[in-house]
Amino acid sequence: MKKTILTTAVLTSLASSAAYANETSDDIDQLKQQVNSLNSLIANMTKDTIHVSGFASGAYGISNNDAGYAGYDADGSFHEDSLFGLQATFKPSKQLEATIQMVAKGENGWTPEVTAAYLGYTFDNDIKLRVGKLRLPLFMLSDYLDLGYAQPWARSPEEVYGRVPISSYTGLDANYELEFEDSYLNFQLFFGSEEMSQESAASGSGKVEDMAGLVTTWYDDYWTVRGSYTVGTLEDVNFASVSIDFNNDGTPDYIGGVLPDIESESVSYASFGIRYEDETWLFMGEATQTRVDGYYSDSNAGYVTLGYHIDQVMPYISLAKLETVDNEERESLTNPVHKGSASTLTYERKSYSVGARWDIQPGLAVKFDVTHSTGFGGTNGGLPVAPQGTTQEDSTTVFTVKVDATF
Amino acid sequence: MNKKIVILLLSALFSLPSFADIVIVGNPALPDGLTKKDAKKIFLGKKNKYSTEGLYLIELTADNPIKAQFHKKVTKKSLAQLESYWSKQLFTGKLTPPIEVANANIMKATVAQNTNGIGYINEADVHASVKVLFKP
Repeated sequence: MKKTILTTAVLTSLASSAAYANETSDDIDQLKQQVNSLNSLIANMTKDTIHVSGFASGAYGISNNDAGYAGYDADGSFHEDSLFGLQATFKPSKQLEATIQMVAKGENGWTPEVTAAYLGYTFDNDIKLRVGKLRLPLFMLSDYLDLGYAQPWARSPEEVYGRVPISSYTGLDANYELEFEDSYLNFQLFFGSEEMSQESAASGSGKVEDMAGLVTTWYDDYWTVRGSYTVGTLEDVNFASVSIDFNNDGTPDYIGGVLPDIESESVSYASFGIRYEDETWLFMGEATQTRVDGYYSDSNAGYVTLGYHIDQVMPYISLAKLETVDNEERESLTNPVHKGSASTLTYERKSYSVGARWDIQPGLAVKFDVTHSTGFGGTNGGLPVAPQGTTQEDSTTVFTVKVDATF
Repeated sequence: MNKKIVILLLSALFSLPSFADIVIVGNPALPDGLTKKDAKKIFLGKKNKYSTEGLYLIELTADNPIKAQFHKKVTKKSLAQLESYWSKQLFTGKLTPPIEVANANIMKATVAQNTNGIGYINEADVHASVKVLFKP
């Protein structure tokens, strides 16, 4: 990203040669030659075809209890929201580009994962085609979710973004942008499939096949309005196997998955989002819905955020909501083990956040956030606590301090 | 006596604002007719009517104070918002951020060496090797 060091060196040599010049014409000719060669050096140097950049986040969070909101408990952790990402883009020509992006996350033991690896080609009619591994644009922030610096909050709303099973896919996308007088209309069409990653393995392992989606974004200097719809097929989802001895006679009465395997069910994701930002105000809101055929949770989730810039500091408030809408579909499960596990697939919660973003310098921001989550309505709130009927929390508060950088 | 003071005051009035005037400069090979609207688009890396061939955008590093002044006028973004904008463009694979140079001298040299080069400098630093395209 920055060629500053080299250019500064060149300039210093320019300046120092100037200092040694005597005012004879020979010396001036020599100087002119030197300047010319240095100028062409600068010109060639700045025509870069390789672009390496990155982003990183360091965060500490602690909760008032062990409900597990965003992965935090009462002991606190540096792992959950800390990450390091690197991206290299090669541009051999104006049309062709090759990009690889890798992200290592604290919550995954810092094992680097390739989150994007694609070839892009821009045609003469400005349609851009990409093929390979791409970021999945399910919701408004999905394709740059790991880029904390570009988010106002310490953590993107967990209610919408905490439950997405995959963040990248393998396939292709096409992008086209229409230009109006003062605004743009962007279309992104994509197709592909993906295995569910380790990250989402808690809810079962499997894959999403035959994914197809359309993202439409209209934006001008201040406003962004975005709508997207994605369909796919959830396949071969297997859940952790258990062996349970109900009557304590030494022989297990049930051996099998905690939930019935999913062979093939249709899924869909829909999102509608609005963002407004000027020199003073920031407003963001998004409503999303996730639909899965069969007993697996269908949910509605959304958030609204308001921020106000005071010089380098932007305090914000945020409200987020999540609820399942197909609770009756799980009543047909008869197996007691399945019935018990399925109770964790019915949930609701509301979260209230107050925080501030402090821009220390371009490319570096510190964020403070307090999120209080409540309104579980007798469910586990979609949090990884014990199922209904056993000890559980009915609210939780998480405190987070985070540093986000891009470089 | 009074006249002198008036002249002094007048010259102070007119010279002070122009002290920090920033101009958009381009390679002398570039055409005239850059508009305010196109300038904004160009410095955010967007398509524009001024040049369909594609421009070579050259930015200053953030520690140069005229960068913040320039963007406040032209793109209406603070440096943090600008950085956020470019990082979003880059990491979603839409646009690659422009190169950054440290000062007006390197800016001029780079603009002069690239036939589609475009950047910005203080008006006082303008030199025959570059062409003033627009005064925001």
